Amino acid sequence: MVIMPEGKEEICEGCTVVIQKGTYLKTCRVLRGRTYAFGKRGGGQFTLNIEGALGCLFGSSFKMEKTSNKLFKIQKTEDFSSSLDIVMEGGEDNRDLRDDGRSQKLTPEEIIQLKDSGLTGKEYVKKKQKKYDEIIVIHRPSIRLLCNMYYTQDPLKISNLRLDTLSQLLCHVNVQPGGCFAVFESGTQGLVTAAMLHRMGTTGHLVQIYHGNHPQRDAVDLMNFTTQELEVLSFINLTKLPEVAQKQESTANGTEEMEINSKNEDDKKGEDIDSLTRVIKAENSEQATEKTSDDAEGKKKEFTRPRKFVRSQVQDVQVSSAVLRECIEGLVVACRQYPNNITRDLLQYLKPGHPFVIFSPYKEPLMELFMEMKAQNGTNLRLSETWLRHYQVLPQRTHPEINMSGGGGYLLYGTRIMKE
Amino acid sequence: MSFSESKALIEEGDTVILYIGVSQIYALEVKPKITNKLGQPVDNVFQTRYGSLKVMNLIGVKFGSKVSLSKGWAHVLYPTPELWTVTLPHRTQILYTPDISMVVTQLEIGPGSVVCEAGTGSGSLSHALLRAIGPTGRLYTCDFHKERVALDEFTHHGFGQRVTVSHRDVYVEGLGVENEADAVFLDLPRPWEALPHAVSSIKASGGRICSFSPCIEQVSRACELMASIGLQEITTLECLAREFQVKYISLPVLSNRKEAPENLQKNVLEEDLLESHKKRKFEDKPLEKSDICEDNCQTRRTDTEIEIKQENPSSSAGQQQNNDFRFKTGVTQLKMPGHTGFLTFATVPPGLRKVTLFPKTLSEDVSVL
Repeated sequence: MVIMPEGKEEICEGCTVVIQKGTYLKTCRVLRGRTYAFGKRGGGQFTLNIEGALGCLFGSSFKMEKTSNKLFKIQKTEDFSSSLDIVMEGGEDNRDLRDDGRSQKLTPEEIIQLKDSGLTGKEYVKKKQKKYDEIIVIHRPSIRLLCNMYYTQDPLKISNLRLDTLSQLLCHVNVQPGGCFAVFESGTQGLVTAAMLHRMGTTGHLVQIYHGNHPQRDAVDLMNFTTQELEVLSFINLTKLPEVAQKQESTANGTEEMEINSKNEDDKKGEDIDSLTRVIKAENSEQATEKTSDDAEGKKKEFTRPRKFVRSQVQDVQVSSAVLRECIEGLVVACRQYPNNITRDLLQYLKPGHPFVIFSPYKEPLMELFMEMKAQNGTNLRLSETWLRHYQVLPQRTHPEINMSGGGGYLLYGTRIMKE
Repeated sequence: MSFSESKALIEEGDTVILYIGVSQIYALEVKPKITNKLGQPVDNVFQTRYGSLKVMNLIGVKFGSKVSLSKGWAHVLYPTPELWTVTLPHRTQILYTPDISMVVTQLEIGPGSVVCEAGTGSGSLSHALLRAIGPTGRLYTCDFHKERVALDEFTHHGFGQRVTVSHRDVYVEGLGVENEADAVFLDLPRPWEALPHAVSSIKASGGRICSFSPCIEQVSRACELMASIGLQEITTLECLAREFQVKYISLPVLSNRKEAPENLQKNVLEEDLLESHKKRKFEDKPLEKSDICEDNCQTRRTDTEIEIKQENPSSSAGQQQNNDFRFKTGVTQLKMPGHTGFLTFATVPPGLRKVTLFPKTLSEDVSVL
């Protein structure tokens, strides 16, 4: 299996990219012969072939070139102007006149010409807008971009988990390479798991506890993680937790282990079949154009996406149980469901003296949990939300953006302490 | 001791967090002697409002356990950059976790990242950066003031291998790194003077830059320069954490009915007043807020409530409980930080022409402003 080339700096076939056009963000997998639809159906929709990005560095800008009616291909451009500049130049002042031209595609002569021709500021902006409309930027997927993408698409898609809240969650749980952590995630597209995994690199263990039939890993799959990185992550179903707890007790007491083991053997047979079907399903869902490993060996720069699951489900459960039993150094619960009972269940696996963070779109369940933990097993408890305000920064016209997000969810965080 | 190792028991040389209460959190170094104000070595005994703690007695204690002080108790916690941020010795104004966390995510820092930081200050952000880059990353941090270059502290916290600290004037000498960094953080009074250096320290394939400034004029000038040299995705934002104190609040329910005996009503009100005075001593300030609510409270008593009242006309305590509207709520702080600084982020695109034009741009800039 070929993993992503060292440094991951060039856009290669099979990798996921984030396409930015103005403030619009969309993820795509770069595949030869594949086109992607942009914009709303009916109004200004067009299709884009992004093969032209192959071999270019992540973060490069591209110019869209029309090949047929609504089909565009892309061509690398050295024009570094972003759509922001358009807004910036839309004012009434004459800053364009003292612009040195490096951020301007239009030459000063052209501007003068435009002004002479009697275009008003608005028309000028419109004209420029059109020019920059044809520029797209292709980024390497990052937690920042994915969170912003989901958030602009629909905040409720990620339970209103705003980037600042996510960032604080990551800090307060002290996630880092080499540690052992667990996350229960539901209703946030796997964004929390992806973000934690990104902070861990290739060392340590991260257990995702999931609810339902499949782990939530949308964002995990978009991050171009290598097999090595994915090996850090293991999954376990919420319903398997009682078994983990039971086994933990029994190993502590040194009794009945045989019985449980034999019981587990029985379970495994069923699971093996489950996991087999899951692997097959995952492989089928891969794009048909996915290169076989033989093919990819020939072209060194190509990226074959690692298998979605690096372990079978049985192995995942084994690894996860082992990690939980050994105890974790940080616990995250981020869900749109009631978080309190899940937190209660998982807190026993957290080492005393170490941090936990609970995210909820609502304050009320967290207030309840706050009171409960204050009386029992938590200290340094804080319940908080953040205000996040973006600014328009322009000479003489700087002010907060006209619209802002009213809230980005709530965090309850603290440290587990030992019961007396 | 390391902020990034895993262990259960406290050993000599460790840094531990002593948690007594929300506003009494301390970082202690577990060592036999400390120096007093006169520079003489004395036994390491930590004084708190609840009595003293012989710090060496912590050896062998499990993290997360309760320890006795001579007149009370506290908990010992495992150190994290966040707890360090609220306990560290201030050499300067520091960055707090809401800003720090935003910086780490927006700069897209992860294991193996190469990061530059100017200036080090008290090392609040540095600790979070050092955690994020992991053992395979590198932090170059520098400060204008020699005494703020705190290598010892980083080494003591197990980050010595990941960090290069230097004492330099960034405006003149740059960040000491060329074409190598994934991300640069600037916390300087004149960020625009350091921006050219920041851009040239970013590697050829591009990276991210952040500038932290308390004043909007600084932001304005930095943004203008950023745009003119071709940086992309320029964003300025501000984030503030709002904390809630979770508590039960009882609001007395007033009546506009005449049936209620005049004198009884009076008694209740006095008791309310007494009660809230008592509470004010025990609980924190926010109760004043509920007092305001009481004054403005126009809530009409329902018939059922009146019935309850008539059932127990003699027991005023029980009655009060019955008539109060009791609820759990998150009370906001009466005073909170209203502004820390503006964070400006920008992307250095790959292959951005590095900047021989800078002195010129800069002088133009100066002449314009």
